[in-house]
Amino acid sequence: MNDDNVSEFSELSLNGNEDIVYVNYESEKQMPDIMRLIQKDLSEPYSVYTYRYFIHNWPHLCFLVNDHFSQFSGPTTAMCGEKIIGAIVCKLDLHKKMVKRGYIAMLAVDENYRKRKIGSNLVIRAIKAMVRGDADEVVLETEITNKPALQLYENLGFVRDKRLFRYYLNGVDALRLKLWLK
Amino acid sequence: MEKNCESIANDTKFNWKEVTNEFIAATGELKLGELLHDEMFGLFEAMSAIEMMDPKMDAGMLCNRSKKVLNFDQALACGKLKVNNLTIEEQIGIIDDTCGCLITWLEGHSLAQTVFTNLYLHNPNAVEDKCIRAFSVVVLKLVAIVKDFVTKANVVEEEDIQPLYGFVMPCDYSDNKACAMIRDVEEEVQRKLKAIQKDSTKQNCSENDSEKYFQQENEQQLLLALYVRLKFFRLFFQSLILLKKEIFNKVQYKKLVVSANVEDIEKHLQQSSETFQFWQQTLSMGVQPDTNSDPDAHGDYPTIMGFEPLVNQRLLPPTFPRRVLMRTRKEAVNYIECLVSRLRHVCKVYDCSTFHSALDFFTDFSKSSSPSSCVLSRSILQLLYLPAPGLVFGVQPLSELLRETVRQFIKPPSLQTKSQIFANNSQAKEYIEVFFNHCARPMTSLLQISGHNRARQREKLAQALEELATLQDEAEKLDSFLNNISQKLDTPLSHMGYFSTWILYHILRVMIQYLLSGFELELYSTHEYPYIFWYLYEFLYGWMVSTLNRASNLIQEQESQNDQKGRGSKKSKAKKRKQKPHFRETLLNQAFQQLCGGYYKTVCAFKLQGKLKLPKAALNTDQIRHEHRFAAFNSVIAPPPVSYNQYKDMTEQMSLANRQNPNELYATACKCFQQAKILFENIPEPNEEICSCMKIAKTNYVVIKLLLSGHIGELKTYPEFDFSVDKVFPIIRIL
Repeated sequence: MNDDNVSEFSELSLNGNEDIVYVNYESEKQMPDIMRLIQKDLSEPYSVYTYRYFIHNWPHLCFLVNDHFSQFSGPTTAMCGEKIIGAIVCKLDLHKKMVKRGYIAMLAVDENYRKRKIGSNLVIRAIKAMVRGDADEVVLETEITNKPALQLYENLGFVRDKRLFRYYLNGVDALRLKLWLK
Repeated sequence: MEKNCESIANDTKFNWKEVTNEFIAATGELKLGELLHDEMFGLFEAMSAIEMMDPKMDAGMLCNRSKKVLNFDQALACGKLKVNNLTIEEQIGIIDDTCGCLITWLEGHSLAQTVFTNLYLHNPNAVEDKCIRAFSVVVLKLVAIVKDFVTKANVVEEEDIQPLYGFVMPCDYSDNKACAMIRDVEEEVQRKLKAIQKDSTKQNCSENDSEKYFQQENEQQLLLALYVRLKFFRLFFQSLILLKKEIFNKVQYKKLVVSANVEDIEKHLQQSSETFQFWQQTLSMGVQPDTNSDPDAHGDYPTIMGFEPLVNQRLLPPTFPRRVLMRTRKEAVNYIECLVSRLRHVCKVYDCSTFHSALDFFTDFSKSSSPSSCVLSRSILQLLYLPAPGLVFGVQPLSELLRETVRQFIKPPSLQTKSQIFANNSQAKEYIEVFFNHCARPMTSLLQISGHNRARQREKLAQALEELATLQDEAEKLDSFLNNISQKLDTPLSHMGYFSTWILYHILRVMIQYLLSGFELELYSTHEYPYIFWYLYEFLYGWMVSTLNRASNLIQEQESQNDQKGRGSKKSKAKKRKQKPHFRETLLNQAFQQLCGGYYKTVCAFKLQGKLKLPKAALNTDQIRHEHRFAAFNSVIAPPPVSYNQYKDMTEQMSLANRQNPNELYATACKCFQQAKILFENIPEPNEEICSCMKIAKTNYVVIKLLLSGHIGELKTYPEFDFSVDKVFPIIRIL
């Protein structure tokens, strides 16, 4: 897949999401928010080392979603700000010296912002960046019971490549999902 | 505990120095986001690093709670552990909870967090209670035997069983001594039971003392409950000892492929299975955990006297605390009951006289046993059949058995006993010998693959294809070499396609197994069904049927030639009445082919109607997915890999021919399902799997027929594929 094709990956429609902005990871200051967001949804704990391993090595493969909100707390005063409501953390390197493999390590969207294609758009952004890095394939693991995740990824062309027996600490099987790009 | 820490601190003199302030000051020199990062600190290190003292990550933190964790000696010293005068209820409770631990260990958890949470196992010699001491010794011996079996069979991966983490097993009794110990206790309990029975018959005369009568009745039930447990463990232990002898000390009995011990093993297992009914009925008799006074007794772990869930916490590797949900007493006994019946089945492997029957036995055992991942029974099956590499039952060289199997499969002229031409050609003889020696390893792999857990089998099947591809090349060369010789005979005869057909048969078996395993492991999305079923229907099953037909024809050709030679002999007439060779297997493959054809046409029709969920925002194409899905098949030459374009052309042609009309497709799907049903019905002696498939073919036929007749009307939702009857072939459901 070449760069011409990349432009074809258009983001899915974002109806009524004007205040939602997709940005690249910028600095360590965002780390606590990213960790808070991701930790909420994961069945397994990740240490700060895991986050740093990915984000410091591949900052360009980490994308965040900001919601710029304005809240009226009184007749005259308005509180404005932004908060991170979505994040994707990835890596890209050579696998078995053969294939350039992208890996989606973490994906999370704040539960108040779901069903708005924010997760899919984060994945598409990350994969576009991986394609620019000449990725052959993209993989990730998910619990076999996580139907929403399976639906999201399969809609993007991922297939279930492998079943990983008793993969998680809680004994649940995982599926390795794979998107072949070439 | 504090005492311990002090004594450790006193023994090795640490010189602690507070550096917090200096450390904080030093970090001031770093810029925002700057990280001191060692090159060697990769993903594995990052993932297994923990934040110390964080209870979610630091397994050691589980110990730092209000309740002290006591080991055997400490628990004994402070009176929390009894080593004598145990009540029968306590003995029963300890035995039943230990079973839960054993099963949980067999399901892939660490020994330290399961079996060895039982403190008695840490020091059985210090246990004065004869019953618990004997039981503890037997459990330790059992753990060691199971470990030996599993290690030797080597059909496990990290998710199947965990290493011992340096745990030293405190047991130095011989098998016989351990057996005698538990038998003594069993007999003592039996004597007590008899004494009570005698007593109670006497008492029948003076029935006024009803309270004493009730007490005796109660004690009798308890003793009986204890008795069946001891009896089970003695018999189970004895059968494993015999299996161990069978496997590890295999003696050559004058080349007789008969096991000396198998009858005894079967007898012991059969007797042990008689204990389950009463065992199940008496599960409530053992002491129960005291949930009021012990806050930890929440059911995850046994917490009755003698058990300390956290006693080995410090032995675990410094990773995240893996949660161990221990099996309940009821689950444990159910599991053991299934285990015993699996072991009894495994012993029937001695009936497999050919390699093909053994391979079928192995794959069926893996497919049908539940839970399929029982490491013990599948390891024992491997070891009974091949206790030493390349030696079937420890006596017959596998290469020899393979030669015999090929002789039956396709009757190559070169393997006919009468064929002097080949027997006298030393070079031909040698080449054949070498070929079968080369076959032994890949064929052993096929047996071993079926010993792994179902999820791992798939990737291993792909690897097996590579080995078989090499063998295929060699088989073809051998055939043409032998053909050169046989063409020069006075009555020239062909030797083409004998050995290579046999290898092709195995390649096709593996390819089919590989594709089907994707259904069982839930790897396919419905939008992939068209090309998966297409491959099975148009190619693999078709090739399989023609391969079996070729083998069958070659056998018949040989036989008719022999008949001509020996015309008039009575023998040849008797042969005529026999069924065509490979009749059953051919029929079965034809049935599966039609079944897959039915699915293929059905899903194509669904797709035409927009009723197959497709990836709407796909970042790759159907072609790319197709090519990678079948990539494992690229390693073999025959059958040749089929390209995506062929699939596309054939499917489009079919749709065009049907004028884009789904009804035509439904009509042909119906025919396929009906054909499949008829074929399945004609298979002699159908097993459970065939019966399910018959039912599935019939149901699908009816569903599609209804769809065709318009009784259902327009499809409103996506049809569903229901795998509850069979893990591979679904029932189609229209909602």
